[in-house]
Amino acid sequence: MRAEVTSALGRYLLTVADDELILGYRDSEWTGIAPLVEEDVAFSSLAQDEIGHARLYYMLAADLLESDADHLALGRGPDDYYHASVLETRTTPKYDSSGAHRGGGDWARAVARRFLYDLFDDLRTDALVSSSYAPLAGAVQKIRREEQYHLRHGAAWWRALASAEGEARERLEGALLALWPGLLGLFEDAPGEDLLVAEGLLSRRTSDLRDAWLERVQDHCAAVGIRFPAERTAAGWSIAVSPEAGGRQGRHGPAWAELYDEMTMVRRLEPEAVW
Amino acid sequence: MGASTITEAEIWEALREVPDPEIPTINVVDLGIIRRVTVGDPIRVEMMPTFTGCPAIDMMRQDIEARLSAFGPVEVVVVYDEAWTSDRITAAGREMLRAADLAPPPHGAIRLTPVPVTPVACPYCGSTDTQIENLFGPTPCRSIFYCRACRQPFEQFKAV
Repeated sequence: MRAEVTSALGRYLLTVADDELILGYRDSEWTGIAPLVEEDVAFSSLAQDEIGHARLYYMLAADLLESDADHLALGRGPDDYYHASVLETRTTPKYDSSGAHRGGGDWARAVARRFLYDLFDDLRTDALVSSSYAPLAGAVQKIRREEQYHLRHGAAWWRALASAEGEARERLEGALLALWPGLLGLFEDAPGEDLLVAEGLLSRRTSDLRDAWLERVQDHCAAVGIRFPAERTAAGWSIAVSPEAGGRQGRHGPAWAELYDEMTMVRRLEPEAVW
Repeated sequence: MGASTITEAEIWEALREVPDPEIPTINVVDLGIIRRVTVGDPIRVEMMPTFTGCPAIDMMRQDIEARLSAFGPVEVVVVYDEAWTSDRITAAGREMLRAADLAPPPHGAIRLTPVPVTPVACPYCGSTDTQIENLFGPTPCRSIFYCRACRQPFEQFKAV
């Protein structure tokens, strides 16, 4: 592989790994406080899978970038993470040290974000499974098998909240609208994706996955009678809001500073520690 | 013992003595995670993780190295270029899962939508009057079921 291709692939894999790590981290925060005990188990397991996938992508990136996976995961500066910013916001409630609820917390938002992200990730991994870079194609094949469980879990909750009527359904609708610009930000290309497509390392650019994703989300909205926030016209999809972009270039929202600080705290305390 | 006198069969036999750290009734060979053994200097073992987020990967690698160290230098390589599937569990291995009160994964071609298509038999009483409670379980590789006949929750090793 030519040097510029190697570095573009490494950089692209960081965007994928960062998405998985950050969503896995945020979803792990539901452990112990999910609305059902079965969901404590399920969300913890989903989060663990994502962090496992992140680890695998970091290992692949580390080979290409001559770095190491632990450094890539936790040793970069805050401006060198390339996840979509929609994944970095907290969905769990906050409590003060006396145990009093300080606000926040929205299970519907956690469910909607996970499911709609997984629908995106399914399209993205489908674009990687035939990669000409064999280690990546093999890893993604493995990841896709595990992700089938995620999709089933997400679809079941999507239906459950939408059909519950009342507050559950309202929260799901509210979550979809609130997340919408951020979800569209998932489709921002990483630098160098054109080159990766030309070299057969990636079958479609991230931005090229958007229309297929909109179709899928529209179907899931229609199935439960939720208003879908985009319209299809003769000229293509008409979307009223602008995507919240910048994440793939390392520009993030206000939630990121706090998350970065918390996530990297242990490593910064003892950077040389061996686990 | 010199490297020239070691056979690949001996290594495979020794590997059958390395248990899965989370399900000690089954060993790494019957679990199907050993892809290849190459006798040389070092002895090279290729291991396929069951799930990418499995926290036991490093422990299994260390256990394999420890068991084989008597044969000489050992290199355990975790490979990801081919996916482990639950169909790699041997027939004996499926019995070993049952011995740990785990229902073995459904047989046959690996489906892309892993719905339990055939009724899952309860590992305690054998009844197939069971229902899925949770696609996810206490480890990445397990789902949770409930047996209506003996009123016992149980776990199934996931099909993947």
